[in-house]
Amino acid sequence: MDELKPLLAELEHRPPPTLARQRLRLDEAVARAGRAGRGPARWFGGRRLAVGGALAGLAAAAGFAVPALVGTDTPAYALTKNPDGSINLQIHEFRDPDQVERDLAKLGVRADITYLPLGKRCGNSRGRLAPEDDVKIPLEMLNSKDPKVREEVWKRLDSRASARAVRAKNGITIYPEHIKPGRTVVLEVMENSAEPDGDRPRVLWQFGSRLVVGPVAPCQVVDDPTAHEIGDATPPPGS
Amino acid sequence: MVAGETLPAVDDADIIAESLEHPERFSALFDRHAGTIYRYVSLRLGPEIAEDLVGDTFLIAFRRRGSYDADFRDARPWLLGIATRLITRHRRREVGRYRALERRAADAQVEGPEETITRNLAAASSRAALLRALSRLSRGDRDVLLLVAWSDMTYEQAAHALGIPVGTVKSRLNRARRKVREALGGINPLQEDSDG
Repeated sequence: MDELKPLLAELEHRPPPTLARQRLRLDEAVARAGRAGRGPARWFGGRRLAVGGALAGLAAAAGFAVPALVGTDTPAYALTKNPDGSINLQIHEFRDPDQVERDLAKLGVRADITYLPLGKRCGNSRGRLAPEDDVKIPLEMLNSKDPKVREEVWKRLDSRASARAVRAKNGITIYPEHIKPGRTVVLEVMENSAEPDGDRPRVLWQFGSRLVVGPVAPCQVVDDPTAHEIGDATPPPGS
Repeated sequence: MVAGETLPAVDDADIIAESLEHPERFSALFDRHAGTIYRYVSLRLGPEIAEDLVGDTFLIAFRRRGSYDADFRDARPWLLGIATRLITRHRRREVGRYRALERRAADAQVEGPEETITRNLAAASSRAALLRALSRLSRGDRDVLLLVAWSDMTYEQAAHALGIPVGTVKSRLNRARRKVREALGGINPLQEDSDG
């Protein structure tokens, strides 16, 4: 069939610049649908994290994954309140997240913590994202390999309230001043339980966080094939 | 659809799923595939009405996104299927286009060294024969042939695009191939076992 292709290709025409008019038609229909309410199938919201997954992949690829963890004879975790009001969480063992939640609540932070093996993520949206945490990034930008575009993506990701509220610093550090009342910090921490073989770098653990308003749904675990990507070792700007 | 092609981190099915809650995200699908749909429609109907049909295709796709089968991560077969059904409404225009192009190919004047003339005449001749064959194919056979030959779709994708069983795709394709082969006579650019 390949021999037919050149003959057929001679019959086709190049897309003209005026094709942009058709995108405007679509944009108008899209805007009307937006005004009419949410999408037609909220049950499909379970796939909402498709982009979240992509973000996680992007984060891992850009060196967001945080190498960590030694020693098992210490308590499962340590919570420390710092003089500047921030709270440091060091996880030594990936168990008993409920106790971490209770201790964080005593420090005034409502949190929902899920521990997962690396290679898994929560496939559902977990809850309604706080407006200050809902960043708009066009998919074309997410897919771009242009360093300038990637920098802009990082800038927007860093502009999210959750990026200011939960940072990969000395383990995980939480800054309560960036958490508005009524928000729950939804934290998903992925651990790579495989023994390091010392031969090649690998992602030891990584986390994702967001701020949710209202009830938080239980995590529905799905595969995350991007989790083990070491990436191009380019850290996000400012890190 | 090309073997070995790397899918982007966020694939079409993700965009469509996202657009259920965030309709504005659907426009990303236009940015990805409008060019392909335009080339396909312009091949069959010419450039005059192709733009409008591309717009119609995406409007229909947007309205139907709730029933999209997420097993198909690449949305091109789905979009090309919608475009194909729109093209069907312009059957007369399509056949008229092939006939007009066939006449033009048959009347082609070629100049230059003898070798070039011979080659160009052969190309014009096979082009005219192909156009004649396309204008004579049944609508269903033509749909399958053009989708599979032009866009590199698999049988399964073509079946999905046209909403017909895979077996029907195969039988239509075989028939269409045979007819085009006959029309092309000795030129036979479709012979699969050809060693080139």
